[in-house]
Amino acid sequence: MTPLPVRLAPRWFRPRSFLFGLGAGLAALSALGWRVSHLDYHPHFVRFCPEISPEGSYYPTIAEMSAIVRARCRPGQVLIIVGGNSIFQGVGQPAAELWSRRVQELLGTQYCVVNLAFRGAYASDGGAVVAEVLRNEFPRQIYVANVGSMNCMDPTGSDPYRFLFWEAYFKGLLVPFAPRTDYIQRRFYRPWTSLAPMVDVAGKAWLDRGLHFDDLWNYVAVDWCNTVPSIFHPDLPAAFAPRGRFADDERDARDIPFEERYQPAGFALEMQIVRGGTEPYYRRGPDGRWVLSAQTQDYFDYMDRAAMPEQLRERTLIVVSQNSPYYVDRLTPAERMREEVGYGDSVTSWRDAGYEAMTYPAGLSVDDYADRTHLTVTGGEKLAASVVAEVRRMAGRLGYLEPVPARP
Amino acid sequence: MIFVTYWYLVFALVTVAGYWLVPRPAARLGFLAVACAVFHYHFAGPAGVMPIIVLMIFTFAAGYSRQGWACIAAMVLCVAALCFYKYSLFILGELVAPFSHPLAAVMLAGVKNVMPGAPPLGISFFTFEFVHYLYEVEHGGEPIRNPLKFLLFAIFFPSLVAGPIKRYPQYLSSLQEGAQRFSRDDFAYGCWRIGIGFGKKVGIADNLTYFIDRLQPQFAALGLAARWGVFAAIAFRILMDFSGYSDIAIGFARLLGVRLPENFNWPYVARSVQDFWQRWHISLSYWIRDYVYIPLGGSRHGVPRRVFNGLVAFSLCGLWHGPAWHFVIWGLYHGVALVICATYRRLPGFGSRCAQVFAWQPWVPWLLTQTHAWFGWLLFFYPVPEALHMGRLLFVP
Repeated sequence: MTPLPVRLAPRWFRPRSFLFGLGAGLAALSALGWRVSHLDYHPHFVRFCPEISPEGSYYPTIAEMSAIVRARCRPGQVLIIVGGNSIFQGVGQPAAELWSRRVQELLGTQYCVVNLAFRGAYASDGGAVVAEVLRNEFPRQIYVANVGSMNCMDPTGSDPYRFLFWEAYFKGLLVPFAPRTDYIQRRFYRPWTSLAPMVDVAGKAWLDRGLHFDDLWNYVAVDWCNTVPSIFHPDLPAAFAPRGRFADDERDARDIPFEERYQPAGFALEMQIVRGGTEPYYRRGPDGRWVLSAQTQDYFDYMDRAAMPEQLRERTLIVVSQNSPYYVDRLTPAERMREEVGYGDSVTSWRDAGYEAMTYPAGLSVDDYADRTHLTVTGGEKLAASVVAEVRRMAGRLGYLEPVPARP
Repeated sequence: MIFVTYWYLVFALVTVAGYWLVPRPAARLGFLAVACAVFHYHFAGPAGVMPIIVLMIFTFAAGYSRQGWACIAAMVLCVAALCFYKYSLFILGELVAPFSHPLAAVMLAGVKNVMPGAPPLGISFFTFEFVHYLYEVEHGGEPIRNPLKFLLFAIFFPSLVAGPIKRYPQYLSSLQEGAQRFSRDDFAYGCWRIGIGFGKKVGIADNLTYFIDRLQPQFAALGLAARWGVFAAIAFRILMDFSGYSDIAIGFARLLGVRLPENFNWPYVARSVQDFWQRWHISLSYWIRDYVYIPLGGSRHGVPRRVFNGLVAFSLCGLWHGPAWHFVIWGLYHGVALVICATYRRLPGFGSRCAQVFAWQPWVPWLLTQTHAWFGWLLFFYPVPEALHMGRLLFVP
């Protein structure tokens, strides 16, 4: 049997110096991370375009999103955080004509609107988390998010964006709220053998709390050198170019031919999706009216109440998004009725759980939609007008419009 | 990679801290055994734990008895377990199916019924360690009489998943000595190796993987320089990936005071294929030499037998890397090269002139060796026709 070679430390290696250097290096990087976690390194931020979103392998942090808000919202302004999915993110609308910008214009300088929506996100994802984290810093705030008809809020958000919730949760930035904790315990901590993923997320948050690793690397990726290539710019040298260099190049849906927006080949599938939005939850009552199943109602009620503490729900506006009339008009009269009932029941359900809720304004046409769900600039303008009216009403009800007392 | 999970990081921090906080060396080993069992259960799951428990019991008992037949029986059991978990689907698909499809189908169904979704964690490594142990005991080596120490030999967590393949006398003396007292030097050197390992694995290998995965499918469409770039990236990726993993394993072991054997020693400076295999995956190549090549007769029975032994040893070495033909061919490719290396000097005229040139211009054998090794990676990673096609495209614009 041949003894195998074992390497000893090289002669120049000085353990004490190395350990000191290791500690000092980590401390220096942590200090840098802490420093950049207070910086807004997205000076031209309008929304989380694909290049700075998880879909482009970029994972914003809570500190980064909070810094974006802080850099825009002045003391005295009412903060409006926009969350939700691609509809509210403004897919189909170029950055310059984004619907949330229109909301800002209509609301005026007394308000500050920041769009933190992500594609495919739930109302309880990123924007909601940041709004909760900033609850004390910006007490006069309204959170606006969209949800589909018959969609509830998962208290921990959706899979792709749950990392933001966990970051805030394990860093202790959220309001202690028993129903949400109970939900987390029941969903994620059941058998001890499946604890590993939780150890991973909790461990990461715990380490990052002290090291600010994610903040530092996001800053480097945006301003200096992107280290994880995005699928949107995979070729050299763009793959390693700072992400901040890429413009928000969302196409204006008005420039896309009608046949491309409403593709005949996808018609059957889209109709199936439209029907599937309400079909599983409703049955016909004896009088022929559509009735929401009690089980669904209870489930939605539980989830929506567990998603946010009561005091945050009352300043949250949920907009139930609707499908394009191009598809809705092709439903049978009974299906169309179910669709209408679904919107109404959704709004009622949200209001019963303590949120403010509304649907889209009446009169949106096929041209106001970029496709089945997303809105064009014109659709966005109409939505903005109705949201502004509701936001103003809420701001009045919440007492936000009273003059702010001067600082002593 | 297991080492790049927060679970592992938390586990390692707790284990290292706990290990040194336990006051007595014997208790430290007990603590370490519990930690290793937690690690193994966590990553292997119940289905993955059973095979190692069974093999461990048989190996320990056979070694303890010091009976030759028991050691041989346990060796056969270990090898059979490895073949079953790792190669049965390959054997049925490639060797049985061509002769009888129905028989292969019946056997396949039977195998799938009892086999877990994936081979047990680290089976390629721990079976080799068990075979080494049994072989040495059978040849008069001292067996491990303490079950706790045997358990620590079998499931020592830093080396469990991907080696290095340990030698038990070296390992146990290091474990025993290391557990006596905390050494700042070992701790610092462990941190250093872990840092180097993560740098190689995460900083270099993973980024190279990204570009290889993107560029390799369009290899034919690339320019000649870009093709050579991808070719070099493939060679450096595997070195950085595997040696980085070994560095991390060695580093974590060192934090516990254990000195694991080295697995890599600058293989891309090797100037002969023999030299290459003394620098590349050292623990495996020494294992193959000690437990396959030498028992087959090594170089003791003339050139034809030496050639045969070398080819058998290296085709097994190839097959050990995975159940596919291209691994076998990769092994044979190296086996043939080793035979050439070992015998070319005997060729009258040509052989001695080559040796003179190699001695006079050392970059020539280096270039030949590295070209050989790097082309070998094409065979290692891709099916043979694709590897040959890629190799041809390196010279054809």
